[in-house]
Amino acid sequence: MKVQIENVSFSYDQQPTLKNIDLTVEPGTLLALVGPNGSGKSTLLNLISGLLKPSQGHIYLDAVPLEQFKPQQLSQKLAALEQEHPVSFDFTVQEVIQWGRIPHRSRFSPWTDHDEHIARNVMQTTKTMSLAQRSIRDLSGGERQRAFIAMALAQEPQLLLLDEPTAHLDLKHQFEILELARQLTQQGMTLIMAIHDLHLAAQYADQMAILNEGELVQHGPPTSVLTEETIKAVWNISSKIVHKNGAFYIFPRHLQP
Amino acid sequence: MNTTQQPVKAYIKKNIGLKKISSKWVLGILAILLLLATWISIALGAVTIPLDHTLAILFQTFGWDVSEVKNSHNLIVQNIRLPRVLTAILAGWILAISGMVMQGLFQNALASPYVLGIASGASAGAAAVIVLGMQSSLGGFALSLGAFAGGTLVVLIVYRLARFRKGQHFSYTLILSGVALGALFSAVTTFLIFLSGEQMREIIFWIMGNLGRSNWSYLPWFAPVTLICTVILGFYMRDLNALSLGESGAQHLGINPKSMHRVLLALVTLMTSLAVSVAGTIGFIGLITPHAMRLLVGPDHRILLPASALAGAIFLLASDTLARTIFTPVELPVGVLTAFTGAPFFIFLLMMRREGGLG
Repeated sequence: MKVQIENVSFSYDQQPTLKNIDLTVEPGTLLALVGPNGSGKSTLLNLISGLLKPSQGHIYLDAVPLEQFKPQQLSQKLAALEQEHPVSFDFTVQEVIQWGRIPHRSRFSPWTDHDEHIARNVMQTTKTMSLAQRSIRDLSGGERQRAFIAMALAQEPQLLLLDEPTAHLDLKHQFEILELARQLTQQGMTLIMAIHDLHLAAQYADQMAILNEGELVQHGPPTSVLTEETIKAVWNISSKIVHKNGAFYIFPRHLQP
Repeated sequence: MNTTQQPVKAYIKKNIGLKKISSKWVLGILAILLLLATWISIALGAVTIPLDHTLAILFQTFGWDVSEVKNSHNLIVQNIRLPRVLTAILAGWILAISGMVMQGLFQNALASPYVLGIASGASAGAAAVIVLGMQSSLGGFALSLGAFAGGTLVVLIVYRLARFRKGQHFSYTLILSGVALGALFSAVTTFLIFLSGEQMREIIFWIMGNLGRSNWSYLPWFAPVTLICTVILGFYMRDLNALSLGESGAQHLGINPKSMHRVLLALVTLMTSLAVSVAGTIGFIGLITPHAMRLLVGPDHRILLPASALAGAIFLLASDTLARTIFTPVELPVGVLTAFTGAPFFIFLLMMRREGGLG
């Protein structure tokens, strides 16, 4: 799914949090949204998911204005996971994954073989089969994240929005999530992900958008947008960037005075 | 997060294996228990009627003569016990499912049907009717009307107040408004009690909740309204499950949490106000029953709804039968009994509490 963001601004209580964002995401790309805390990453994701309405500008999904989608239609095409997923009761992983089918079923329709087929598929993709009967609240951070991604995938989305899916995860689990993200985009899904780890973002993302104080500072392939100058300007840190054997390392030195 | 931090809960899961009982069995057993409780409750009282006679009278009521029974027994069952037992079943049913829906809506297992101030509003309404002496001119109907009006009024105000604040956290604002309005109306009730003088006992008796005013007059519409509301609630239970992801989480699945709030709150307010208007503000049933059922059948609201309805009916029916038989001929307010059994159970559940609520 192609996402076009045209001249979008958003203000919260008269306070502008996003200013004139122009951004196009091609189908099948993994876009990393990076930027300091409070730079507007989550707000941008909430605007794309339709949770918030832009105070100016438009967002198009495959050239259709976002506001033309009914909530159910939208949830059949777009899945979004926020940073925190509080679950109030002891639902099992299986039950949570089944909620992902809600957009495709009416209140009265029974659980079909097709629904079951999809639930099993996403459990395989996310390696959550063995967790099916566990309570969602008894899982470790990595397992939990995989279970929620499974729920989002059960929606059969063409666009997946993830807000810091690797936060609080150890190194191995961070890689697991990003490998999964890459695998999904290779199958044609468009994925937009807010993330803090610049190395992981550079390694896995096709495109990177850098936000600072509500403005889009840079957009392009990670290695070309992440420069010593940009890091200094956006994060206020002086650094040394080394390219070696195709890999890319950022060595932060110190805060700018 | 892991189970070693909740030894009691882990113990229950492992050794008693409550969750492994199939939910169909639980519903079946609850239905049978309710029938048994109904039968026994009709037999017991100041005059004890033999169980086989009770059954004969019940058959007779539905037009099937099986054997001769004493006319006095027949009258007691038809005019006094049957309406009272039915009222207990309906009120218990309503309070339990209303509590369950509130807990689901507010994603907080400590919510009760009274969380938006229905009880305080209804008490104030009933107290006003008693103090103004309208009861003598209009009879028990005035009391019910006052309670119903008070209860629904409070929820309407709370709902309006919560809508003033825009943006997220709608349910949070609702709860806080409910607490504030509840306190305000409790103050009104206290003030009315202060003014009341000799009627004080009557007001307090009403607030504690009792089924002594049960009769046939309201049952022909009370029962169908309860059933219809329950069926409509049933259609929303799947979405109520997904609301456990939070309001925005549910929105990502195409659910409109605000419209769900509106529909479910309207149904719960209607039902609870009806229950309170005939039975007073009976506590703990709406809080405890959904909890206990969640331990038995798990958190799925589609199963929790019928399970809570049946269990709530049994709980109130058993409590009421005890309340009118232990100190015969004096009747204990049933609210006292539900609190006596409910509060210790609640403490037990608190011991099993984990972060983010009970469950």
